[in-house]
Amino acid sequence: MKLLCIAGFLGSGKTTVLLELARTMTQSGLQLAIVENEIGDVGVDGGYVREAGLPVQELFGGCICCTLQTGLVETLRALELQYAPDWVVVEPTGLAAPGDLMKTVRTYMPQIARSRVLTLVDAGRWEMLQQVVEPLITAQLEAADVVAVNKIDQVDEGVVDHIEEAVRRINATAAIRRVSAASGSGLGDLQGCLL
Amino acid sequence: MIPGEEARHGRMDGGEAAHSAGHSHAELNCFVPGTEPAVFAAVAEVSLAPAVTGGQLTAAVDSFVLALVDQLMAAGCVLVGHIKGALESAAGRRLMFSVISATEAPHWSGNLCEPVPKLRVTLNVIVFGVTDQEVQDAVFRCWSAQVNASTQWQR
Repeated sequence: MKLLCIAGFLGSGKTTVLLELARTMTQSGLQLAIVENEIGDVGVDGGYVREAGLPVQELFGGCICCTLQTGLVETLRALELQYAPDWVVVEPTGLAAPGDLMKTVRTYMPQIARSRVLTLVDAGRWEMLQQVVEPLITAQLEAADVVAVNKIDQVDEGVVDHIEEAVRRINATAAIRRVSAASGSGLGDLQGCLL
Repeated sequence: MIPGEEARHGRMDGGEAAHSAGHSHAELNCFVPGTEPAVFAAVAEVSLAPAVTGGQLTAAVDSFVLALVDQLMAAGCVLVGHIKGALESAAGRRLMFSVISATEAPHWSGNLCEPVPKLRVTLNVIVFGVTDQEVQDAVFRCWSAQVNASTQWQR
């Protein structure tokens, strides 16, 4: 079993990207299982994923990078036993620090053959988020293997250039891709980069 | 559906105290002091008499979200993380909405097809700069004012 973590702040497009990646992965014959995490006691995104016909496990009432670490590990073990998926795709809450999440995975799930962290950036809200939650955004980017600057259709190319430069200063080794999850632009290249 | 959904579990190392929103990143210092996230998440059973159409519902929820954001901003909210929800009929049809801006109307998807007398509403709000209690009070106040329906909130 391999693991893909799709991280990023609230509203950055995680669920939209997840659904599109999952669609193309399943079309190519891969077996997937999805883990959805919500800070609150009830969730909305699991419904989207379930409607897409994917097996989904939801973890509510906390964050799988910290307060629900045990739940994440138990969930991954259960998925491995019950479904033996090729990939498990994990969508943490938008407040999660994926570095902490992956530390848990590597410590307690050493049997996972490969793990990748995709961090999404909301190009339209980059400056605003830097003012309020810059430490969290930085932590999300630092843990990324791949960064996708999303919603590029909402901003000028110069803004995307500026964001890419800022991302590169935070994480010099991550691959960076420009995408619009809403239109599907760049998602094929993103998948090739991830898997 | 995978058996054992909706699991709730504790931490493995127990090393950090959870802070706002059931989240703990003490060493990360994720949030500027005073702008920690506040969360409201709940399900409501809504009775509508007479039955209403999807168009009437989206108009009412648009008004609710607009009023909610206005009240939260007036209370000191500095960032809308997200406000999202689902309206589900007894027949399983769903309307879903989300908003991540204080200045834009919600984006909608799905449909209900025909007028509905009852709904199950799932609402999830994460905003920054106000308290959980302020968010809950604003949700209840704005829902009552904007959605003319008998509503039983379950938290």
